[in-house]
Amino acid sequence: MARAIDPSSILGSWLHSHEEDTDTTTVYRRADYEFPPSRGRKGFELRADGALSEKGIGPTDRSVHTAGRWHLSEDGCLEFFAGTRGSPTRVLPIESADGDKIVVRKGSQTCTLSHGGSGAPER
Amino acid sequence: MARHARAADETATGTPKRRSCGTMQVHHRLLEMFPAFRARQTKLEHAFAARLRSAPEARTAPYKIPVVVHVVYRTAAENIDDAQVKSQIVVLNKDYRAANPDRAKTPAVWKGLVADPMVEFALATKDPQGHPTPGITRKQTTKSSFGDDNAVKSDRKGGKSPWPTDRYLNIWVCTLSDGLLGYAQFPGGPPKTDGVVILNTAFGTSGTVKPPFNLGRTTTHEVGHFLNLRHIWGDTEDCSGTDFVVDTPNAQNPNYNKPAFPHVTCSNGPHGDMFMNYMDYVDDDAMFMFTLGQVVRMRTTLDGPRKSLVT
Repeated sequence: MARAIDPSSILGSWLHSHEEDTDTTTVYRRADYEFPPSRGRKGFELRADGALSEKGIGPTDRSVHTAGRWHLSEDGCLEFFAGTRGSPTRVLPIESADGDKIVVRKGSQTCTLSHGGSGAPER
Repeated sequence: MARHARAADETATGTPKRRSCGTMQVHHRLLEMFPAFRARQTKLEHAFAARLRSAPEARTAPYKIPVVVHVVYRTAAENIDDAQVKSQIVVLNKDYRAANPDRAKTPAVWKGLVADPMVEFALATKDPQGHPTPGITRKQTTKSSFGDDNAVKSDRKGGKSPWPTDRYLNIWVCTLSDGLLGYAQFPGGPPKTDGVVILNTAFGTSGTVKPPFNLGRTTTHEVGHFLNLRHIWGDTEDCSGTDFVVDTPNAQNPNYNKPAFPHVTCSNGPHGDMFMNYMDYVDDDAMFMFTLGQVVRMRTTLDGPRKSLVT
């Protein structure tokens, strides 16, 4: 069920806490969380001005960062954009966000695209 | 307000609609920044393709590679002992000769693909000046940890500069930040940073190692990159990537922990991801095989850009 997410609860840097994933959800924790060792962790940083920095796993396990924009839709879908226009490159349907943890639903979802939210690029 | 139905990219088993990772684009940008690296990588891919079209005689003698391990430490615990270093060499010599007993856990459908890379490793007995050496250097640093920026490979940046990278496999062992277990460099890259970096608590099988990364497989994985192997999910999240090896099924994402067989992604059923391959991201005790295709790729590297390492 879609629900409203407070944008302030998702600002900052987040890393994939894959140890906490379930069959239906993906979990992100704040970057300063004491994660156990891992061969690599993806993540993202969401800035208040709408800027996005995605952290990916490089082909030799070094981290790689790509810049973009982010937008949170009214029904709690976090959208990532590579540029200032076009379709999102990635959509994360947020199940819950309590300031320390973001839980994202896996599987096909229906999201509502809203315009004019924080950092929403033109389409 | 417009309403659109679309598939999220966090699918458990399906194929996402969109490319969702910039990893390979960044890699390609790096190749553009270092044209010589790009040229050498392209040449190596051509050599690999040519080798797949030929039928060379089966190799009978192993490739032997001298290794130097640089222990970079701040605390006493980080200054791991010789026994721990040697325990890692033992693991490499099992995994790179397909002599690891746990290869028996390979699912029946893939047992016939398990291949012996025929690579053997030994701590160097002579240093770059020709003097006797245990093949282990120890360097004290003031840094509490290193990132993945190659600083540990430089005296000037608080680390230890390499021995000649065309003659030794350089392995740096240190504390890494952000929980990173290790990283590597493909063949053809800058010589000053060539080699692999491993977290000290994931190096070898004794001393300070901690489960679930206590069987030395982080080094097996990173040396795989050093010999030009790619991740089995092809470094994209949308099934469009490739590891350039045909006998590893296409996979969507890294697998973590200890997956249950089968784990189907990218329409790769019924057997799914080959997550027990050393080039996935599972726990040490859940990975135990290279395939024949990966072995051909590594041998192409050892007969090409890494040839000077082989003794």
